[in-house]
Amino acid sequence: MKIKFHPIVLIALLIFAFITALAGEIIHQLLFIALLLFVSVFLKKRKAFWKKMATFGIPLTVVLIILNDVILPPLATGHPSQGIHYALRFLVLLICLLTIVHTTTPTEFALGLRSLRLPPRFNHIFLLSFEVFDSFRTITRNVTIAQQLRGFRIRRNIFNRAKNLFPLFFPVVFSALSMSLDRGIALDLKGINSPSAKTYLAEWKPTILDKLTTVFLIVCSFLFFLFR
Amino acid sequence: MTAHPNLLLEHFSYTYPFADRPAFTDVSFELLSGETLGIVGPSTSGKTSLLYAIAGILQKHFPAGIMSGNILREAAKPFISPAEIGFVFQDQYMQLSGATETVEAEIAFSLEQLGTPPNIIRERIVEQVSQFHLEHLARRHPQTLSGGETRMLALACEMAKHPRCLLLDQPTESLHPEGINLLINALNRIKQSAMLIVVEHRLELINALCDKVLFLLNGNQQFYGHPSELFSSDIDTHSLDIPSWIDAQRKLLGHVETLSYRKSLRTLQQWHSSNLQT
Repeated sequence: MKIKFHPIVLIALLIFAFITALAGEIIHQLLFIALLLFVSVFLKKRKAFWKKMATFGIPLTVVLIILNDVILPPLATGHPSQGIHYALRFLVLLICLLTIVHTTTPTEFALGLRSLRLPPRFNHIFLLSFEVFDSFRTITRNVTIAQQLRGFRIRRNIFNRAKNLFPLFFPVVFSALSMSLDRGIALDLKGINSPSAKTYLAEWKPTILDKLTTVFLIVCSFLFFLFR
Repeated sequence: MTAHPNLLLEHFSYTYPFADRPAFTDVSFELLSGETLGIVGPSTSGKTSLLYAIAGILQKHFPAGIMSGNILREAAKPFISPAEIGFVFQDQYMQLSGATETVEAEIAFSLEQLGTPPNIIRERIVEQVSQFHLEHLARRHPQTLSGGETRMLALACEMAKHPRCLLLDQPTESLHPEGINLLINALNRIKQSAMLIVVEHRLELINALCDKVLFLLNGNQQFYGHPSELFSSDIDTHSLDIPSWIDAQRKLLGHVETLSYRKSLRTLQQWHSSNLQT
């Protein structure tokens, strides 16, 4: 079974995650995590989802708990366990992002947004923000290959990878931004900012289920915010 | 009656913000609809920047730059509208919208943005897919194509707009010989009704396609005229990749000229000596 959410659902989910992480109580955060873990069982890319959780999500959660509850002095946050509080916030955002990443592709997301008939400038900004991540990923992959060819053992362990990639972080980010500027110009020349009424050959409109899910997520966000 | 140029540049110069030297200086040329201009020159000679200026990109996206001289487009418009212009970038991956799932949808993207009716969009897709032999790729995701295939798609996307002015920045880069032939055929078809400006290093293409050529060196205009005049001129073209057959022709002509010069000198000397004797 492949779950395919319309971008409007994913945007509502992102808002719900932010409200739960920043304003919700521990019970709200646990409910959110349980809900999304249940959804993840039905994802087509559930293996990739769980692999990322196991290699990245769970270790970082444990590190956050140890750092806040064992190593650092307690802060006056009013929570019995500061580490668990921060770890849950982190997990809520991480699981939400992983769910979004594993249920859609940038092109599907952009197509869904275009079908909502949003103002062209809004579409332009969304497309460009995807492009930045895409450029960033492409440049990092190329740099990694180039470094490996020069003899750097990047994939040996995480410390080696960090040591070799850290100095390149800012140049890579600036290159990605510069590439996105060029892509922005290309999109402009394709007429994305054109004031004329758009036509659509392919559309992906939200279904009744998408609309109901969006309403459910917004109501949940509102309730979590009210009863925090 | 003389035809008015659709594009006229007079002593046009541009310097990017914070740059210590102009991207190009004192560029002048004129172009009519149906004419093709080739811009040649070594790297960093300002070719792409000049193309950006013609498209209005510099004026719109880098307004802090210093601009002088005149650029007059049809009806004195400050910018050419996206519907009228086609721009093929040097990096073909820049051309992809990132918002489509198939090659066909990518071709349709800019037409959809410009509000072209759906039936015309479908016609243009079929036209471009067959023109660039993209039939077998029509249902593929644009981001899974090879460099050459992406280049063909980029060309198809821009040609689908049926632009009145088509600007191409090194369009043959990463194209195989068959692709170059397809491109030349497509450009020959479109040049009947549009103004073409091509930045290219392959002078064979310039020679085959262009009515006029502009040679830039370090941002300065070195030559403007017919391509054959550039090849036969005394201008230092060592920075250009002159096709071997043109180079051979020039050497041969030079040799023939030298031979005929020597022959006439000898005749003159003989005549002079015979006259002296008498």
